[in-house]
Amino acid sequence: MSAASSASASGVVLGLVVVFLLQQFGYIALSSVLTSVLYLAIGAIVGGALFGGIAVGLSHRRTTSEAPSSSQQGPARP
Amino acid sequence: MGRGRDSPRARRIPTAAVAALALVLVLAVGAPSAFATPVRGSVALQAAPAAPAAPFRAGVTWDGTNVSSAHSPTTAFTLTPGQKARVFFGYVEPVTQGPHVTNASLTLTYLGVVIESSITPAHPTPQSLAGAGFAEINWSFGSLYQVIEGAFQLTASLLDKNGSTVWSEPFYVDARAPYSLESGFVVVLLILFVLEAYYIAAAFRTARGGRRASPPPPSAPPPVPPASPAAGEATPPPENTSAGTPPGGPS
Repeated sequence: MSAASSASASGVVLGLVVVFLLQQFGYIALSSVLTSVLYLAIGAIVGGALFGGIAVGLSHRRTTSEAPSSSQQGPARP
Repeated sequence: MGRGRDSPRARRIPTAAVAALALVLVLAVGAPSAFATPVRGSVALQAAPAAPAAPFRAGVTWDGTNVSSAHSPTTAFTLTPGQKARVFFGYVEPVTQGPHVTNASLTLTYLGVVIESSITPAHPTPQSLAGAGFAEINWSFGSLYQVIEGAFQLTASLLDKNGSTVWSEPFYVDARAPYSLESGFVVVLLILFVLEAYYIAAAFRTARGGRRASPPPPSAPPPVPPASPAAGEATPPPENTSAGTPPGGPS
């Protein structure tokens, strides 16, 4: 499992947890089915996309920063 | 010159027109709301004149406060554990025809599921107003108060003899569990929150970990010692043999 997919899965769970915590602390009410599904879907999508995107960005930064250093090492030895 | 005299008037006419338009708008918007305010959600029904063909009117109070003030979770009524709220229903229905209210109910829904419902019979008051009546429920969470915490929607309804809803109004209640924050569900959610945050941090560390723990640049391969014919004997290092010192070392 790659870091991006792991972060995205954890972000989905974190988004759901945040929605339930907001209900527990009295900021939103999960009374009707439509409203509940809407809030939970928004939390899951935002959490998964946000943390998955951050992980993809971090790994992309790593690969781009490694590319020049590997090119400076000259030709590969047999 | 004429243009100089006309320009203040031309400036004044649009100002007057805008003022007249604003007045018309205020009257048009304000008048229906002024008429609608006493009709909707009014509990002091005895003060309203009873017309024979008056529309159905009803209102509910929660410990003396109109429930229309708790129309969102942020303005919800706070309910502490063990507290019983006095929910009072008042209504006026048309005398000639229309719904005949027999029951009043209070329903708690969570994720679309009815968790708790209380029904009480309505009491018509023929001596005050024809078609008027009231109902009262002393409401609490019951046995659910141990686990319930947060904002919940309650629906106050008036039912006819067939059980169909004649009138209803939703409002919100902010319930407090006995140990408030230590309510079980909140603790589980907080543990899950910390756990998932840790997993996310570990994934981030993995994603950028290659930059910190990057392998060193490849250097010359380490010297491989030649294979000795006798595996059990210890071969002296080549430096010692070239120096001519005995294997046992200087004594």
